[in-house]
Amino acid sequence: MTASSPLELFALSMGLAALLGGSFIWLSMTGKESNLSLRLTLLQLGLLFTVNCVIFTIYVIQASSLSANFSVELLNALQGASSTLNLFTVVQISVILLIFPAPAFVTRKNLILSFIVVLSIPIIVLFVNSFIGTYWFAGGWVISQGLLIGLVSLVPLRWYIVHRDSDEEKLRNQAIAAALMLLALYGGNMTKWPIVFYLGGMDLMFQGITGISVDNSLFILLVTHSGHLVCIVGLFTIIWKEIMAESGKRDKAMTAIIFVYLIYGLVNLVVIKVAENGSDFRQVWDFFALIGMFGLIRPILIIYIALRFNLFDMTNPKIRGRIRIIALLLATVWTSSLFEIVQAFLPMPQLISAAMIGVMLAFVIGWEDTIFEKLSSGSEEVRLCLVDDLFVEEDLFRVTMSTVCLVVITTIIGLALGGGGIVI
Amino acid sequence: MNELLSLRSPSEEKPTFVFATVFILLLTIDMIIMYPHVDTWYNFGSTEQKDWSLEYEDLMLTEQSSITLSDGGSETISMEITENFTIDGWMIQRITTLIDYDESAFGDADCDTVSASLSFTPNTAEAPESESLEETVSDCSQIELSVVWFQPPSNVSAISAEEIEPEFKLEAAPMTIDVEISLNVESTAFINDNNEQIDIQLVVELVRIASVVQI
Repeated sequence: MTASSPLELFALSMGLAALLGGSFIWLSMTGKESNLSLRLTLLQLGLLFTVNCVIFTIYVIQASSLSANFSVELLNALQGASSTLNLFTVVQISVILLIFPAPAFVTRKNLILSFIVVLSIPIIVLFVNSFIGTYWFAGGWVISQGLLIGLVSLVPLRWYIVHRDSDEEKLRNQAIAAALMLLALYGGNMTKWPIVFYLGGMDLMFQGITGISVDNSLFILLVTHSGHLVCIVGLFTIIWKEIMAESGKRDKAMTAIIFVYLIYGLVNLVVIKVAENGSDFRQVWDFFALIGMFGLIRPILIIYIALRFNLFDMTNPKIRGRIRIIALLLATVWTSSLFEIVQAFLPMPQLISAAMIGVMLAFVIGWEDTIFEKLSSGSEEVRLCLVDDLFVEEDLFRVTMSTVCLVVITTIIGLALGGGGIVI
Repeated sequence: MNELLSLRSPSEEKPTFVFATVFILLLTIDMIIMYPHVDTWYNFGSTEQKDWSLEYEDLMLTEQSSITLSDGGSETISMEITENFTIDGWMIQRITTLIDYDESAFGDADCDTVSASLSFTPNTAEAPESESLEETVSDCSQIELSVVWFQPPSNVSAISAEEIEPEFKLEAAPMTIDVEISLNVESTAFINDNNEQIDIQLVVELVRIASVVQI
């Protein structure tokens, strides 16, 4: 791996996250014709990408030559901030899965209560673990993630299992939208499916994490593995349902995505088994397996979901035009990121790489009109069973400002804690 | 709760039961398999210092030669230790040279004088624990010159086995070791052979880490 590869990919992922975050927040605020439930989902996605952008910024600082002059304390503080922010994104994802494709609770009181519960889980776990755990922060970090992922993933899976075979198209859309969102947000856990057969071991379970120290307890193993297992059994449920779906109810995109995930999981396992741990190739692979999944795959799937299920207000020609520009910008950054990964595995002259990016972009731009029109056709339709009168316009501002406050608090806690025994 | 997510009749909930059963079954099996390995699963890349016990293996490099010196003559015996030893993890713990000779002239009661010196160019700045670099004998006794560096540590603290960097106070290859021997004939007999045969044995003891065990 060339020394600059991680830095360049972090920088590109940071740019991609900033672009998506900024656009989603702006589109959710301006698309006044859309349903508030969808606008709130879009806003929450925008905020998630914005926090991802902050995390990538920290990674860029850590990977840059600047960090050579940093003290150990500052490096630990940055590591701590990225760890706590990563945990906060799990809370954000939980909120998204609770409100998309439709809110899991139909009264404001219950929905707000569910948000509070989701936010309280890491706080309570870390607090309790500080009394009983030796490695309280790292332990709390993995327990919170396991609990949140395990519990909240059941919501989209419930949407999918109950409504995938429904005769009503809107309900089927509901199921597909929920499963796609789960694939986009927790795809990284799903591709670790060989872990259920005890294949890949620790290398696969903690792929991308350089080091972690956690108390050796059955409870921690149970909770963290349950989190993975819900997603993995969910993936196999989706595969089974898609295979068994009647011809008129099949979804090509969903089928393609799940089989890509399934095959990628297998390829990843083979690489882990074949490439020696610590070898250059293995380091590059582990790095891109983690960063590629939430820096490249997640954005492209989210854009697909947003276009397919009308999260953008496409009826407004002005917004429609801007979305097309954003889509083109995204395609450019995404293509560059993809070639950055290719470059790390197959080093090639910059000129050839640039030419290949140009050729690929030409194809993307050529097909952009067709893809965009196909995905956004029927934008005036409401494709999901939404809940009316649950949200008010002010909720957008409230959610944004609450997130800003929580990000500031989370970052400060992370900076104060230091690395906490987690090295990413 | 959204009514679209609420519980349905048992027949409609069949896929949910299947999901739950598969989940519980897999979780139980995985727990049975994984729990015995929990120590390694949740403690990798730890930043905590641990104690490690180190065991070493030895390698002896020996060079033997026999020279014949005449009165006032001297000769240097050299031994070269290549850099490959360092690449393979070996470090120099001890250099010893043994020089033996006898009075060969018939009827001569006086032993000749043999002087020996041991020299090398150090690669590290580590001072030896003990050294004897020069000696002269006139009684036909054995000359033993040696340089001994400190014993490598048997216990160290490190985050992981890969991170272990023991404080070695040893020498390292590449190194050329020279032993210079000179002879002065002293005789009580009228007729002397004026020559003496001297046997030299040069032994270099190398060590490297053989195993690392967490205490």
